[in-house]
Amino acid sequence: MNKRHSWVEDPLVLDQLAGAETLLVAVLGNGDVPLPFHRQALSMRSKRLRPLLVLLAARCGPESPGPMLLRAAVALELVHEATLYHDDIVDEASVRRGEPSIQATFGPLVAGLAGSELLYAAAELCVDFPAPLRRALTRAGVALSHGQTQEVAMQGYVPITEHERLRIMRLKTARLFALAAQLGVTLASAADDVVVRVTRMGMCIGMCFQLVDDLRDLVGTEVTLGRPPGADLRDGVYTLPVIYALSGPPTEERKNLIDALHSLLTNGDPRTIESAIELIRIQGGFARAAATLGDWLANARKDLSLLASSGPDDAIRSLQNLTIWLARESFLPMRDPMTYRHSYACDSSMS
Amino acid sequence: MYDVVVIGAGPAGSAAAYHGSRLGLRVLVVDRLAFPRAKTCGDALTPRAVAAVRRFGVAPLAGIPVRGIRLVHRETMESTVETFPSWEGGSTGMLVPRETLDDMLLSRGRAAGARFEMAAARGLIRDGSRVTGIVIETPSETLRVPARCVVVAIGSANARFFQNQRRPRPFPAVGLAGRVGLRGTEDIGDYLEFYFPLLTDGRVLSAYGWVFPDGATRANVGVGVVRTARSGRILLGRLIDEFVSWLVATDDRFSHAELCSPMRAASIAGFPVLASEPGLLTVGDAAGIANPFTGEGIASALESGELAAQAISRSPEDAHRVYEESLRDRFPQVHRLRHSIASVHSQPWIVLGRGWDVILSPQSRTGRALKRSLLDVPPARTPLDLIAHRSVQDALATIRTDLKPIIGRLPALTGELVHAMMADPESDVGWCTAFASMVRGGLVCHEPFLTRDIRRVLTALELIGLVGAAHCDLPEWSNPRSSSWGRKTLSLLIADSVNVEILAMAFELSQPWRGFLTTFARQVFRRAAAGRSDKNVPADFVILDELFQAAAFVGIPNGARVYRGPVATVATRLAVLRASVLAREQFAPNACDAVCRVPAKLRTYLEEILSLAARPRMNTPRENSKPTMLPIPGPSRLPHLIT
Repeated sequence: MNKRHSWVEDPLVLDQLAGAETLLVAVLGNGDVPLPFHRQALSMRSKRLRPLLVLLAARCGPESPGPMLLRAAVALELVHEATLYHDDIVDEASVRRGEPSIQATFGPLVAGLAGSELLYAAAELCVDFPAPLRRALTRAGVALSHGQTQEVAMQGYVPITEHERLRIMRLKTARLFALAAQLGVTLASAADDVVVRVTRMGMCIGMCFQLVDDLRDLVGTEVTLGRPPGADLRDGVYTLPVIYALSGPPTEERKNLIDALHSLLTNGDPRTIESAIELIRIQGGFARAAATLGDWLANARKDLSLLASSGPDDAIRSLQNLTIWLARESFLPMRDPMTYRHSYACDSSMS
Repeated sequence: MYDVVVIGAGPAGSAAAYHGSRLGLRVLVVDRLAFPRAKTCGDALTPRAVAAVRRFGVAPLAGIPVRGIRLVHRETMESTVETFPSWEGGSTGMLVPRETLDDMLLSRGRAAGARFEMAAARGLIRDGSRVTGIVIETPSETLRVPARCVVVAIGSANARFFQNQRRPRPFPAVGLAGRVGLRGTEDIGDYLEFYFPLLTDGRVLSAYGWVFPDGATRANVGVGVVRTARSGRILLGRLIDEFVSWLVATDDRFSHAELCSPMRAASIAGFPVLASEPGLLTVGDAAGIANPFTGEGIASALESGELAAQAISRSPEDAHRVYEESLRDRFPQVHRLRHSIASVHSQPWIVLGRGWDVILSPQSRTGRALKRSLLDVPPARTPLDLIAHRSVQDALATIRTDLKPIIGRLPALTGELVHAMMADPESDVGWCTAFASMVRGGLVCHEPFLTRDIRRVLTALELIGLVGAAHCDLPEWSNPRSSSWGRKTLSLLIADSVNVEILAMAFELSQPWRGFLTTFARQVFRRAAAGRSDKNVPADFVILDELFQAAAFVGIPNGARVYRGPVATVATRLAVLRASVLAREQFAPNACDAVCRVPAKLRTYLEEILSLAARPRMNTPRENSKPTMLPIPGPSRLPHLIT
């Protein structure tokens, strides 16, 4: 059993996941052997977070959903992989999950085409879903593309507000998590209020996930990230820790940080990155981001506790485990900020 | 009582005044300054603007002629030159000092019968929901001036104007531009020069510099900046200083240059101050219709003033609606940019700051699209316009109309690019529809062709073609020595946003079309990827082949299934010819005597569209390219459509 899924305590869900993996192979094979450029989608190194969220959310409903459930799970993973294929092209990433990326192996053109294929493969799986779920899917797809575009359009814009960044996070990441939860719980015929609560929890978890990703980019090490930290800063993508660090009175540090950010746009000098990260820390960017993460996780846990009666214990516990993992990946204020790098270096089980 | 009161006597206002008077309206123009008056501006008139000025009935302007645009990358010093396209017989732009131009335009307006009053507008008079006049303040008194229509031509910098009456504005002015005059330069030449991407050591990303000729030994040098974290004016001055120093240090033409006129600044329009409402029309920079790339606004100011006058003359009660519609037709970016908070950041040339490779790559469709926008290229005829059959043109018009709202829904940046790509005469858009209609036209058939489902399917096919075109902008391999960030990012933004729209459309179709379309789209990209990675077959050929097969399928009615085979072969030949156009390579279609075994009428139609596709290419093929042999396709492999 894949140790990546050790946070899932529900054996039925793990069984279903195995079924989903089989379906994924069949879908990508299209009646034949999967093509070489789909090896990344099939990779067992993936955390399969979105499919697992679909399956766990379905446990919160009274009915046992039919084959549509596995299809929904696989579809969301395919959508996620499609975005990874395309992201790696733009980022010129040579490595993904410890293996050569598709764009490095086959070139950007083939990787781009393969990514688009994955999107339509996901759509094929959902072609006979009821109309409201199809509409939810398309809306989430539109949100995804708008979020991406917005992030690109805002690159290099230092005065980006917290509101704008939250919107980008919601559109490009959290909506997909929300959709996963929504599909699962709807297919299990849950009551309306449960659907709302589960979907909201999914959105919340998605926001947390993105924030953790953003934090990791700044405080991770080359070992844990597989690349040097600060890629977002070089791209001009200013995430919440940066935005928090820049809010507040115009001190000398704030001015230095703005200068560093501007200079990083042309020249990604590692020393400038280090000093920028240090300035973010001094300005309280990380502390405040961690506090925000803590708030969001508390909300997610609150929703989960209210769902305790809706689903079997081990399903609810699995989702609780997910929030705990997300919390661990951040640094709550109690943790010594000087040692956060050290804790990252140790904690690689979920990377 | 006046028919029209125009607030602002700049180009937009004068255009409204002149054309309004010529159409018999009683026009009053107010401006708080006496004319002639100085105005900070790039002073550049594109050929489009020159054509609009000619419509004021003036002889050719006295100014410095310019032939086009030169784009320079400041770090690599690579440059690309694009000559202006032709507008109404003229392809020369002109540099004319605004003081002279504006004074001349206003005089023409007054000569046509408009009255001018030096006064500041203080507020609007309303009657219910309708604007019925304005309050003006002359040096001596305050007056209420009733009018059937008010035209607001107040320019880009008057955000606080009408403060209590304008709609809440989500975003302040787009940016600032400043300029200085230099003398002692060597001849600048006759191109408008734009310098990208960054002007200083990384301080500002979203800015450009310009060098315009101003006589044999002078130059007009300036900087345009989009909102940054710092306050505008100080930054601008420093940027201009640095840019000028850089020119003096690196450009031989400037080695002896010195300042002859101090810096003056003005805001760049890009976001509307006021939208039109009953009794009130907004024109020019105030309507935010400047070129989204360069901020150049004179051409659109003149045209919008003209459109406003025409709308008021045609339908005084409803002028604002007529005007808005004609504005949207003329300036598609109005609709997209107007209500998007992100519109400022979607200004495409922000992306150009990093995505410069797009402009420099000759094969990039996105780059061609961006250049078309920069140069304000007029709509051109495509080969499809030459098809004489009414039914085909109707089908094309229908599908183009269906595409509009979909493109309109795209995020602003992507929408701009897609719109520009579609306006390229070599664009693929329309060929699937044309082929399907030609096939249908060649066969006697009583089934209606453009049913609701068929329209959607054809629209989806055109969109899939767009996505394919965007993908084919991606480089085959990454070159570590040169950045291709622009090509990759823009191409994937387009692909991803349009894919999502295709899916939305497919998911709304009823079965079996829903399943067919999703499976088909998947197949297109799968085949293209596999073909490229496995057998080295060009991806755009594969995509076009698949699309034309599908179009043939849509076109052939059920009763004529027997012709599917030969038509499929023609589809592939068409794909070969089209792929040659786009790839600027010479593809030799395998000899296939396709156009036989079909009825005579169908044969004529098929030969017609093939010959259109085989017309001499607009782009010259790459040098020394040997013809590439493309494979003969197997039998038709479309997804099974359960009918």
